[in-house]
Amino acid sequence: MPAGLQGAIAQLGWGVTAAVLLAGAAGLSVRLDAFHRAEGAARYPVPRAGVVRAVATGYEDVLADAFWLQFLQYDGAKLSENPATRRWQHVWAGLRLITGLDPHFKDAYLFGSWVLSDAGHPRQAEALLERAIARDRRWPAFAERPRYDFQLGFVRFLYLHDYASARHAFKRAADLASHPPYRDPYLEEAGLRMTAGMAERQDHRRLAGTIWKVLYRHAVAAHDRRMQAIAARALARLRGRRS
Amino acid sequence: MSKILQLAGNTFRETIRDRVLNVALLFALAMIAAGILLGTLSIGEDQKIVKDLGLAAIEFFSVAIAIFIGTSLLFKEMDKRTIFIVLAKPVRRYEFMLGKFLGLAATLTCLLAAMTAAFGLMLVALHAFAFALFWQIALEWLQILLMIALALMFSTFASPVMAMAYSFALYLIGHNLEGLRVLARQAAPTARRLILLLYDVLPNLGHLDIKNQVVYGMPFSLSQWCVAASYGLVYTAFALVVGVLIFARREF
Amino acid sequence: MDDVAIVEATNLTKIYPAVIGQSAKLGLDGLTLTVRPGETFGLLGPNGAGKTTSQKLFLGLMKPTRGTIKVFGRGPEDPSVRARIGFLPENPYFYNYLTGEEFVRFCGGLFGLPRRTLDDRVKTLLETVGMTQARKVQLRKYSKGMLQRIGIAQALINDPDLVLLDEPMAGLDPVGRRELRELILGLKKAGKTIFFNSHILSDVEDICDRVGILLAGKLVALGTVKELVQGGTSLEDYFVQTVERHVAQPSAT
Repeated sequence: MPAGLQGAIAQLGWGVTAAVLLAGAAGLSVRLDAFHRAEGAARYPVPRAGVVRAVATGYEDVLADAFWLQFLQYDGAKLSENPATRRWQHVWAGLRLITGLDPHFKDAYLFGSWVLSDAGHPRQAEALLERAIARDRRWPAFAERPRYDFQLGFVRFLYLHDYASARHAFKRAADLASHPPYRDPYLEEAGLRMTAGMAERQDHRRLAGTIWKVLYRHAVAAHDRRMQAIAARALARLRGRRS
Repeated sequence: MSKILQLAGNTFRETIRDRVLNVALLFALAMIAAGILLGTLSIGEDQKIVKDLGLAAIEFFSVAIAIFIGTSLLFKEMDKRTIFIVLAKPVRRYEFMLGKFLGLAATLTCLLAAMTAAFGLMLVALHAFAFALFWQIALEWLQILLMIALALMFSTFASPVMAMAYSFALYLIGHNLEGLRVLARQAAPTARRLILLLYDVLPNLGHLDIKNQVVYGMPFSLSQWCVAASYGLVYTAFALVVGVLIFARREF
Repeated sequence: MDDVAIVEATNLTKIYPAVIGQSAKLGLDGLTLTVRPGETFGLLGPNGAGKTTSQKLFLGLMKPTRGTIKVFGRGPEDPSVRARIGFLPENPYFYNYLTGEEFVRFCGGLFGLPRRTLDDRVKTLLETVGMTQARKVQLRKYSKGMLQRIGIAQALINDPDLVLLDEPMAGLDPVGRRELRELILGLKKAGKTIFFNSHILSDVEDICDRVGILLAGKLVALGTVKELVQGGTSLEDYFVQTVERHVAQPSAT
C-alpha cells in the first residue's frame, strides 16, 4: 500500500474517532438533561449572597446582572405560567442573592415584589421592599426610596388587605416625593390619593377629607383641571356618605 | 532618566507586539458588545447592565494582561540571557526595574485607552453616556499599575507560574478584604489583632472600586476619590521599591 | 594611569549556595589575577571550569563569596566602571523583535551616548562587523554568525577600554573565526585591553599575550604562551597535560 494512501487512511481513522467521541459526549449530555428534568430542574441551589460576594472580587454588579437575567428568563417565565408552583422559594432566594450582590438593583426589588405577591407570598414581597428601603437610606441623594414605599403600600393594600399599614407606606411615599432630594410631583399626587383611599376604606372619613382638600388646593394652585374635578368628586362622595 | 526611558521604550516595543494583547482586546470588546444584547433581554435596567459589564470587562482583561505579562517580563530576560547584556552596561538595577514597569504600564495604558474609547462610543450610541464612569476607569488604571508593580515584585524571586499565582491571589484577596474584617469580629483577641493588621497592610483594591456608585450615578466624595488614588499610587511605589530591593540582590 | 591594573582579582571565590535538590557548588576557587592595560588575556579551561563565572564577577552580575575584584581600580557595581567595559556573552540571544540596527542603538542608549555620537558609532560598527546590509532585518531572522557579529557591535558601542568576550569563537565557521580574529587584533592594535574565555586553544595561541588555565574553579597555570609551552610542543599539548595531571591528583595545585 502506498505511504500516501496509508497516511490518508490513518487520518480518516482519527477523524472518525473524533466524530464518534463528540457524538458520544452529545449523547451523554442528552441523558444528563433527562436526569435534570426528572429531578424537576428547580433543585439547582441558589447560593447565598455572602458566599458569592466572597468570590466575586469586585465583580458583584456583573454577577447580580447575570443572576437577574437568569431570573427573568427562567424563574420569571415559569412563575407567570403557573404562579402557584413551589418555585417561589427559589425565586425568593434568587432575589435575595441579586439584591445582596447589588443593593441598589431597582427592578429586582420592584418587579420582584410583584412576582412574589402574585405567587401568593406578599409577606416576602413586603420583606424585600423593606430591605430596599433600609438600604437606600445610605444614599439619600440618589435612591428610589419613595417608589419602594409606594410599592410597599400597594402590596399591603392589594394582597395583604392591611389598609392601616398600607396607608402609612403611601403617606411616606407622598411625603418623601414632596421635596428634594426625591421630589416627584406625580408620585406625590399618587401617594396622597392612595393615602386618602386607604383612609376611606378604614372609615377615617375626616382624614380622607383632609387629604382630598389638600389635593384640591394643590390642583387649583397648579391649574390642574383634571385633578380639581377628581378631588371635588371625592369630597362630594365623602360628604354624601357622612350624611 | 534617559536610560530608564530607553529600557521603558524597549519594553513597550516588546509588549505592545504581544499577541495576548490582541486577544484580550478582542474579548473585552466582545464583552462590552455583549452588554447590549444582554441589556435587551432585561426588562428595564438595560443601561445599568451595559455599564456594569463594560466596566467589569475593562478591569478584568487589563488586570489579567498586567499580571500575565508582568510576571513573565523578568523571566524572559533571564531565560534569553538578554539581561546579561543590559546589566553589564552602566545600568543600575532600579533603572532596569523602573524601565520594565514604565514600559508595560505604557502598553497597558494603550490597551485601556482603546477599550475605554470603544466603551464610550457604545454608551453614546445607546444614550447611556455618563461622565462619572471615567472616575472608575481612572481607578481601574491605578489598579493596573498596582498589579504590574506587584507582578514584577513577585517575579523577582518566583518563577513565572508562581508569580502569576501570587499576583492573582493578591488581586482576589485585595478585593475581598471586607471579609477579613468580618472574620476579625468573630476571632479571639490575639488573632483579631493579627487579622486587622493584615487588613491594614494588604493592598485593599476595594478602595479602588466605585463601580456601584458610578453606575447608579450616586454621589461620591471627590476628596475620598483623591485619597483612594493616592493610596493606589503609594502602594504601587511600595511594591516597586520592594521589587527593586530584591532584584538588586539577585545574581545572574 | 597606564600602570593601574585593568582587572585585579584577589582570592576571588564564588560558591553557589545550595538549592533544593542540589548541594552547594564551587564556581570559582581563590582566583588571583591581574590584567594589565593593553594586554590580551585568554582564560582557558573546559566547560564548567568557572570562566563565565569569572567574567560575571568582573561585571558585578554576581557578587563574590570571598575575595575582591577591582576593575579600573573600583568595584564593578559602580556604573562608571561598566561604562568602560564592552561585553559579549556566550551564545548571545537578543531581543527578537528588534532589527540589528535598533538593537545596537538601544545598547548605545544604555550608555547615555549623545545622539550624534551614537549615529556615527552605529554606522561605523555595523560596517566593521559587516552587518550594514542586514541592519534593517529583525534579529529573529539572523543566523548564529550574524548574531555574533551584532553581539560584537553592541559590545564595542561605548568604545570600551576593556573588552570581555565569553567564548566568542563558539559556533562560528572558519571564515567567521578568521574575521573575528582579525577584529580582535585590530582592537589590540588600538590599545584596548581584551579578556576572553575560550576552550578552543588554537584561537588563543596566536592572539593572546598571556593565558591562564582554569580547572574546576582553580587557576592552575598562568603565563605567556611562550612560557607555558616550553615543555610541550603546542599550547594544546600543554593544556591536555595540565588537565590530566590535575585530574590524576586533584589536591595538587
